[in-house]
Amino acid sequence: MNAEQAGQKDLKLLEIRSVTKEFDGLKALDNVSFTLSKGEILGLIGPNGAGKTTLFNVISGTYLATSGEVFFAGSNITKVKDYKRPYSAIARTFQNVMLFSELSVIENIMLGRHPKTRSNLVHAAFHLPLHSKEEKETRKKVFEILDFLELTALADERAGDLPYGQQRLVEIARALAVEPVLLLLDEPSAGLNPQETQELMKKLDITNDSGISILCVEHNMKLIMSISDNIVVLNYGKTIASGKPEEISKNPDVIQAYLGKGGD
Amino acid sequence: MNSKKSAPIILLSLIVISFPLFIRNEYFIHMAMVIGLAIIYGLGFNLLYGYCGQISFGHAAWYAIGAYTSALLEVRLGMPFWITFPIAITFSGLVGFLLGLPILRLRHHYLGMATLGFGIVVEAVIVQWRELTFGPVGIVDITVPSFFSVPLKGVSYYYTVVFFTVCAFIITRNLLRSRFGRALMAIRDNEDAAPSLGINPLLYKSAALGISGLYAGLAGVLYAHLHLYIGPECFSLPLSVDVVMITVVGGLGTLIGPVIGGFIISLLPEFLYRFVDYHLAIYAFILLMFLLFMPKGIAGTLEKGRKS
Repeated sequence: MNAEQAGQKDLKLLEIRSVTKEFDGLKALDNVSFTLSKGEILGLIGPNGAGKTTLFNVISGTYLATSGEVFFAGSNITKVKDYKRPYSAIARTFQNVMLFSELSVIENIMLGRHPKTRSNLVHAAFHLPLHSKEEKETRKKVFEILDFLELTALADERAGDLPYGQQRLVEIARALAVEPVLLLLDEPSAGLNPQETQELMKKLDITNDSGISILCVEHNMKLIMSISDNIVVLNYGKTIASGKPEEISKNPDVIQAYLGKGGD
Repeated sequence: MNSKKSAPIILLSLIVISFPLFIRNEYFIHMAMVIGLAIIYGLGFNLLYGYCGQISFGHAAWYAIGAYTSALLEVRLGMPFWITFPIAITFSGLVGFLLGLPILRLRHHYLGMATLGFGIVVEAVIVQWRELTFGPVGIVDITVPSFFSVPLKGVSYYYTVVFFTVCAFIITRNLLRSRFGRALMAIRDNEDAAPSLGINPLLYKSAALGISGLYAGLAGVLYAHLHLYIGPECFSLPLSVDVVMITVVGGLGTLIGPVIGGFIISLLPEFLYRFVDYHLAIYAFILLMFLLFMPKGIAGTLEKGRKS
């Protein structure tokens, strides 16, 4: 790693500042703070109901934080609408795969190009040059991504007909089509067999090497410990630990959170 | 386009173009135009419901807005057809878009209720606001439009209707195979995932209602100048049911569906004229049968059969 890259590593890309999210007075997130540096893979773990998906939804704008702030690439995006965030190059996947099931795999991934293109209904209706040019570029980009994730053979399949594991990959492909700076992955390995999980880890590494920062919720401990640069642990909506994977795996609070209070 | 695909299109074009040369019967020419209007009406509705997943049970309202805007501008202000025409379709499109912004926040049957209500309101306004709309009497003195001093009636109006039907079809096709069209389908399939790709569902849904309102308005304008009479009874609930029939029977979410449905639903009353009192009951029965046994309509079922 040269000096420049080392310098970039320290840049704050995503900053969560004392974020609290209440649902009818119940705190799903309670004063959560952490930072994701540019270029890193940050693992987000915690027992079921710890608030991981809620936090994802706050970052992607599906929910607005009750209090606290979210900074992305130096600007405050706490109140930015969800559909505007992909234009700042934030892309996400969902815990329960959310594909457009009637559409083909290609069309799903083409939708990932939506924030990167701008032809509107007038361009489309009259086949104006901008439409044709963008369609061509979109297809090219989509085939690159299909190739990268080894999905080319499935290009014309109806997305809803695919097995669950492949649907997950298509969803990741769709998020990659956004050309994100920050990629939010919600349990990417759920539903994958061990071999597919291995493949996925390799792909995520390559993705990360190409400069995309990743925030990843994951239940597969082996996977998250091996791919993450840093890990944040949530429990009952609070951050109970953060640090390097090896520190986290030895942290007594984390062990207790996962294993329960034992003899108490 | 390959020759296998273009052959039926060329054949169909020849039939459509030469139809009035062989069929001299005025009634058949009239029926052909009625079919054209049904196709335009169905194409717009299919874009809204079949491709964007948003139902409207009051679609006749936009048909009426198009017809009345064009007719009133002519009768009240003496404007010629080629001026009233663009104003009328733009206005019905705009009403669709602007109404969409509040009501398309609703989903499913709540949206159905809201659109049903809108249809009833528009009909009531037409009946009650006599000073503007002539009320239940309707508008009787709509004139035959002309194109470079050629009066558009009979065969020449037939070609006018064909022209607009073809335009509506091509524009629909273009819209669907685009960034815009994909965004509509994304909303239909999973509205909650759409924002994560930079799609503002409300904006796109409203645009879909705007376009389908514009299409219904276009059918309305053509209707007014075909029959040269319009009244509130022309645009009541059965017309809103018609468009659901056209799309569901033809094939929801298929490009060719409204064309097939337009033919069938326009010709159906001709076969059922003995049972005129039972029209709605028969329609309801057909609709139910399709929803139960052929939910993808004729076009969808044929497509499926060809694939397997």
